[in-house]
Amino acid sequence: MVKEKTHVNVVIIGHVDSGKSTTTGHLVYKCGGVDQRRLEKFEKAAAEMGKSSFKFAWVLDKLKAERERGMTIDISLMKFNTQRYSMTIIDAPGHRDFIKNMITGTSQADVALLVVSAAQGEYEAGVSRSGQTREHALLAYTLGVKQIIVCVNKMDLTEPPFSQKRFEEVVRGVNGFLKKIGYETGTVPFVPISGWTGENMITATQKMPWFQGWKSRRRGGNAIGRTLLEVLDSIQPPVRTINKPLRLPLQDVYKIGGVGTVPVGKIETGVLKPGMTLMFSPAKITAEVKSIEMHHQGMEQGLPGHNVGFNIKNVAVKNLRRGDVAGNAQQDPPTDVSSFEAQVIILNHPGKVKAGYSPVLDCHTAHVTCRFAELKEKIDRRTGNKVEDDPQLLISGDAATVKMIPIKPMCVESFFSYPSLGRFAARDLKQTVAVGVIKSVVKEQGSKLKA
Amino acid sequence: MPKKSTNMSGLQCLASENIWFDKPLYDEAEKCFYEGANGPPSQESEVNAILQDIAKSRQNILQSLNGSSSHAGGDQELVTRMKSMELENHTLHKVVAEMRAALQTLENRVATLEKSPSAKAAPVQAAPVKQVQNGDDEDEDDDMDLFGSDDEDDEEAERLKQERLDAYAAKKSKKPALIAKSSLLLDVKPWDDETDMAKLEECVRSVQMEGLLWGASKLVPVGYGIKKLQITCVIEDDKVGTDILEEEITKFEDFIQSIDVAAFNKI
Repeated sequence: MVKEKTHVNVVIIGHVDSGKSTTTGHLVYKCGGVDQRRLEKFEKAAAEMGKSSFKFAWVLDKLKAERERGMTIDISLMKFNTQRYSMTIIDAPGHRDFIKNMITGTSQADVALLVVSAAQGEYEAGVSRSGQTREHALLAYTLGVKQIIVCVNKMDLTEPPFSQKRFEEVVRGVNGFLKKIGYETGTVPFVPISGWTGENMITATQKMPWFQGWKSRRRGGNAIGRTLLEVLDSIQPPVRTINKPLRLPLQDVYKIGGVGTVPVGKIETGVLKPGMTLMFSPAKITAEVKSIEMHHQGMEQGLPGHNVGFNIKNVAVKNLRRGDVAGNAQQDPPTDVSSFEAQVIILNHPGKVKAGYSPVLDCHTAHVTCRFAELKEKIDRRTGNKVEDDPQLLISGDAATVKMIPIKPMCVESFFSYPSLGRFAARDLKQTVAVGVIKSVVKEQGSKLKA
Repeated sequence: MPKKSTNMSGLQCLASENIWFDKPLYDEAEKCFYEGANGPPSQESEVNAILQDIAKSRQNILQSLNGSSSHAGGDQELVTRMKSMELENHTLHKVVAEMRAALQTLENRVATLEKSPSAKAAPVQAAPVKQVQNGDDEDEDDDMDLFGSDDEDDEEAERLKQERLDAYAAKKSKKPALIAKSSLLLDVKPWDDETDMAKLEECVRSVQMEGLLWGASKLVPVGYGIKKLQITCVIEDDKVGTDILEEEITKFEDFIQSIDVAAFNKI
């Protein structure tokens, strides 16, 4: 029964001191995740040491210590269940390479949970210029995470504790910058919680009688929630893109004795079936699917999200490689692009970006150097309105529409038709210097503009 | 004589009885004797001892008044204690001086802030923002600079914010800085179903760098007999990048086709 729940990836973002880990720990601890046997072991140990009153904190510490030693591969440590969903938590690290991973990585976030501390000074530091709150929220929005939930944490540490005034102050502030980023603030839920003491996490608290819950009107009925768990449960399910044409970026290509060539990758959109004729791009090769396997089990069809291997006829291993995209040859087959237009945000570039700048783009599994051929216009990140035509240069924090040309064949798509094939990270000097989404592509043959 | 003797017999009897009558006298005498023999000298020695003590303490008082240190162990202890207190006093003085200086700078800052009422918390950064706003589009009331300061804040709110930030910084500086770490789950893929996965794992684990710790691993079936190696590692955010890690691992190109980051989490 648990298996039937829709799976949702939640990325937890927030400033260092916002209490992210405690909050996620609480959810995982109370709602599934932690394997019962291990939990019992820890709880027993805690009781023996006379720490039963701080049991939760103690167990969290233990689990953290375990993770610090890398002792478990158990991803279930980051899972919990709501009534409708099975959720996997991605606790966003401050690591500079995380952004790239968020864009090209295997697990795309469906929902962002922004944790903001209401404690004196911590909220101010979190949303300040140097704080991570804004940057994380902006990235989440830019990369297509349109659902965001805000929990106003550490309500037990406000002055006075559980202060409605402080909560409202924080809501006003955060709403302000979420609006600037582009979120529709009317639909963003805010929940006052304490991840430490558990107020409003799983059960509604009596300590904040002024909080009557969060309500939102939207398609498919109203959503309400008094606790974080309820609010998480009320999110809209991620759209599964079964009905779109097939797109499957290749991760690896194997040569298996007695079987032949086996490409492996994750299905992003559409359905893969045996007997289907595939087109690989930019390799420009067509081949028929003989069989599909996942985890060593044969499958009748592969669906979006599945990491599958499939056997194809008459193609040599050397003709395919990581970064190629497979699609149905009969239904909008993938093609390589001669150029594409993208909206980029310059992130950590130490200097100035001018036309001709050529960083390496990581887009799905492809890894290709692309040239900023033309800086078309500088734009307002929130509204998308033009600020300046043909800017001479771009610096960190700027958003712009640029025309880019890959220096070797590459298959990408517009973000609006195939989101995961339309977002990229530009890397230079071993860091992510820009992130972007592709607005339109110019296909190699026919040079037809595709929205 | 005989008469006397008759008398004597009565007397003798009495006399013999007298012994009993006199007993208290004898007792008294005995007591006196013993007291005479032992009492007075012992009392005298006690008195002497007290006198000596008094003399000693007088000396002590005198010496301690003179501040001489070479008398007894107890005094030395006191002196060292006093010295440490003096030292502490010194450091305290220093701290007070430092705090005074810090306060001075803060006051200066507040003064500058008050002088330029519309300036933001960080005047240096705020200045260009203002220029941009004035120069570009005056009708656009939205703040273009997302990472910039909030425009609605008045001076009072700004000062409150600054105060809270300062308090936060002060609190934060007391906390020992934690080393930021992340946990990575890597998928390491071989070339085919015949790759020696034990050897492959050995290669991966042979990659060593500062701030990198290899953790648990397992083999996960992919399909058609292919297995991939899933391995966790803990990295220090400032020391290990995923690029360099990938580069180092894929150097073993006889065994490894590619790696992917399956999970990336904060610890």
